[in-house]
Amino acid sequence: MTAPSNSIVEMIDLNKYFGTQLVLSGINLTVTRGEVLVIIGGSGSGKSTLIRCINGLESHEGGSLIVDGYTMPPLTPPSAAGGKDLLRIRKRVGMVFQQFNLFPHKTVRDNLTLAPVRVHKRSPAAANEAATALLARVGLEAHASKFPAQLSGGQQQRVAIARALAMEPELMLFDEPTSALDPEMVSEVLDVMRELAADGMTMIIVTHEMGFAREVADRIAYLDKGRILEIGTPSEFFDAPKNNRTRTFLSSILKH
Amino acid sequence: MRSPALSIIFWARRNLFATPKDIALTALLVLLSFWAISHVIYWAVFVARWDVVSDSLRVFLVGTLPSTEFWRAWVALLLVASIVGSVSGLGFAIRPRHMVFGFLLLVFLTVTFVGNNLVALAALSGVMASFAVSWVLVSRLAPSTAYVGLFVTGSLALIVTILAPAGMDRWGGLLLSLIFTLVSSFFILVFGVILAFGRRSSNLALRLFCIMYIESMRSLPLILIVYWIWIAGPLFLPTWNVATVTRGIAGFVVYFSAVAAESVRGGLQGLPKGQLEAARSLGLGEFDINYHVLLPQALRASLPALMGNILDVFNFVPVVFVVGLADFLRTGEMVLASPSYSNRTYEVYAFMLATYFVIGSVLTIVARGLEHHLAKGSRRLSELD
Repeated sequence: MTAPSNSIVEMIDLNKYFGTQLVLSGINLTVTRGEVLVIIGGSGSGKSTLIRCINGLESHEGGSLIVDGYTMPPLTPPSAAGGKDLLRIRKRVGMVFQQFNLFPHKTVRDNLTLAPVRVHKRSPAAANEAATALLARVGLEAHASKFPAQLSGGQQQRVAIARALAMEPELMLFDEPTSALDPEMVSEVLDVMRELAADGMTMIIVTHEMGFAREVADRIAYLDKGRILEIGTPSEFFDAPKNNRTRTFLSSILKH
Repeated sequence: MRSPALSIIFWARRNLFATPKDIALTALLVLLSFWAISHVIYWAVFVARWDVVSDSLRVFLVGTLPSTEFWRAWVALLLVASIVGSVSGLGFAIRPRHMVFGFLLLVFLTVTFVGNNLVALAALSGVMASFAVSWVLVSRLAPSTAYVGLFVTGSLALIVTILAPAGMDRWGGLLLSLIFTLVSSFFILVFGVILAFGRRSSNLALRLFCIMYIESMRSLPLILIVYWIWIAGPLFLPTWNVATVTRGIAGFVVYFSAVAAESVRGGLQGLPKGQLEAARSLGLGEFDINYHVLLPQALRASLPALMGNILDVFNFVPVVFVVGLADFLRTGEMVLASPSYSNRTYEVYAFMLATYFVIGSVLTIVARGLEHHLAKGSRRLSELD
């Protein structure tokens, strides 16, 4: 392991294929600690695939990817057969999914304590204490003994965020965290993410919430057909987009 | 607000007599059932001579087990009752009506079978009490499912330990059928789960082995496997004198593990991919993912199929006659072989039928309860309307 550098994710000329189809093409991207990067793009642009490469849920075929000092070799299988470095990276990188993916057979508290106990070898008592504190942080301390199916979508997604935070990650990945939610529940999830950003958490967020992106992001990247077409601060990006296709995309989603 | 009588009429009209076709169908089935049931009752009460059952009860229940070893059978039955009781306790909270029903059952069993044998009466009460106590304890204390699983495993080991000194090949009758079913089911579930996960392993050799094993077992007749293992056992282990019961159980385990593996695989395949991805993204290792995340959900989904497998095991136990074991059904034939009872075929088989029906129903009801217990936290269809 190299000494902790200022950058947490380094992608150099990253390529990814699904079969023969190129879904990520020559991605060069560096994310620094404490930064909030929002990735936007149309459907099929490869934005989900990009962040899924970071914790090895997808493997990349070419180029190099370094996460928190560990190198993810190309063609890493997503199972534990991917090796020690893959598991080390996953310990440090939390992920929140569009469909929440909470464990339905476990209570909210057990969802939060499973990985800290099994992976970090915390004592159950310590893990429980940490879980209680995290649930309070996302406003769900009263729901610790409930099962996921007894919660609303917004509550489930906040539990999913708390579950990822329970591993004390260096980096949080969000894959369209509000896309599966009813409109009235979007803000409760975004509020939690705002607080996280304010606390200095490094975050990479794939989202369609442009207002949120503008407010929270340090940088915004626009992905189109597997390439980063444009990357910059929110004001550069929204007020003076350089690329024609970015302009078309922005006008199509900001119109309504 | 409708009066109850009117509600019943509306209910009957909607569910039984909605159309002329329904009326005809209902009438036909009611008449047919009435005809069949009345004949059966008439035969059972006025024609049948049940002395064969009470006279041969020992043979039916324990085969040729010598009377000095009966206490072992009673202790085993006590433990079986507490296994069934504790598993029931997971699924059903105990209610007064259960107590009343249990008391009536005890009275019925006593009057029918025990007569004036005080030892048997005391033992039977003990069995019922062990069932009730373990049920109440589990439903009140609500221990985790894993502890109940441990208790069941321990009790099974204890049953075998207690019964073994009586001579394993002397087990017979209903006792043999029950112990055979319980012990094989335990190993079938364990190996079934292992095979199902092996079939999904990323290791090609393991995957192919499991697929070949499962598919070849499923394409062979059970009776052939049981017989084959019985004759092949001494070939592979000439110095180790393995009891016929053990070899019979091994045959069942070899066959039904493959069947159970397919049931578990069905449950695994139904899990959303997101469960695996969420578990992986938390840094969990493959064992933790399988054991803590996928297996509990897969078992919950495949429980109805697995319980069907266990019921199949119980109903297929008579197959062990090919290796010379006298299970419950076989003891019926043994009783009928004696000249004094040769004309009691209907009585003996009616008794067998009723016993199989009762035990099968109990298994089904307990399985329902277990399903209900494991489904906690998931939305059931009934809650979704």
